[in-house]
Amino acid sequence: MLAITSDVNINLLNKEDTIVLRYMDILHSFGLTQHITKPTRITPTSKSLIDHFITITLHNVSHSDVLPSGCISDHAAVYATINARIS
Amino acid sequence: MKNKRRYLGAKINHYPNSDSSFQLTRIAISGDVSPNPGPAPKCSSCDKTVRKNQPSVNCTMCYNMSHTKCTKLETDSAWLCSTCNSVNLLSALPFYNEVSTSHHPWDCELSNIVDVTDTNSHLSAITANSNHLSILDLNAQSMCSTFGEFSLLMNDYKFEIATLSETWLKENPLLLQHVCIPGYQLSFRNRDKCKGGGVGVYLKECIPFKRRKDIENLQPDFEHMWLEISGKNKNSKLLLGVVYRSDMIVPERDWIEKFDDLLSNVVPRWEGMLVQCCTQVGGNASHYK
Repeated sequence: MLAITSDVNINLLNKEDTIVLRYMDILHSFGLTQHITKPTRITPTSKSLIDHFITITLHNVSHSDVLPSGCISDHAAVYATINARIS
Repeated sequence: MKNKRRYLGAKINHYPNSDSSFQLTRIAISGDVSPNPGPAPKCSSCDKTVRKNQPSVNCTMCYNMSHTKCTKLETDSAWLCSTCNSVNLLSALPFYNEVSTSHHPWDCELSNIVDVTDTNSHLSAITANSNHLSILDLNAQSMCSTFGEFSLLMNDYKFEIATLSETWLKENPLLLQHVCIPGYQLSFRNRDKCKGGGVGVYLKECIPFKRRKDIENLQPDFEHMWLEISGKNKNSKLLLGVVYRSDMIVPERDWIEKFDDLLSNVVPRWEGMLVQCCTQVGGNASHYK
């Protein structure tokens, strides 16, 4: 199993952006999947998806979502449950 | 009565038709009567003084006085002043008091922002997959100031692993002691030379892990952390990476190429090792540790 949580300030909602295309291309070439689909940072003027949860295969992730973090920070928390046989 | 005399020196007649009187000075020197009775009450509607000879009415909640004619009351019924009335109207709205009665006091802060039904759906999704590993990722934006809220979040959802970016922590033992959560072990990579940044991981105490500094050293100017978490058997090991990038430290275009480089060093080797382990189950696989 391989899991990466990345907060790299790349907004995946800008699907046409060259950086986003390159980023997704890199992930794809290593067989990695990014699971978060909802915006993780919402300000009155913008929405962006900049917190990512990446794993190597799709079927290991049973659930993933965005959890509002309230007053902790202006980013929402992202979480996932993965089927990893950890002792 | 001679009005020209001073208030305290004035004589008060016992009877309207006799000369016998007493003086207020005598009462004043007794010591237990206030010489200053305070301002005459103002009407809460028109802001003018309510005189003794004017009919008045008291608010039943705050006891503020008001002219009867200002309240436009016809009968001598109970009356609420405008301030109390607006509060009272608010309480007639649906769900008023809902927050304060149905939840713990420490939930109030969160439920102001987080919809309660939403919270429940997240919680049930996590408990439904309770045999799976739950991982949280959060951009904390200073652990010091928001640690209280963060530990409440962990207490509510009981994530097995939490990865953090922008911890803003330093290599200071007291600071690191402050951000401990009972039942969790922590591992941080802090930014000591300049402010901001920093990544960290909280893991439940029952999860054994090993920090892979060798992977971190492949890209020393990245802010990232890699942990190897041993699984139930050799091929269920988990490699957990936390990657953070801010525009101030590494520009996008440089970063993406280095990221490609890093993954090409990590992913095939990691997966390849697992496959190797997999084929050697039952054999002597100790040198793959």
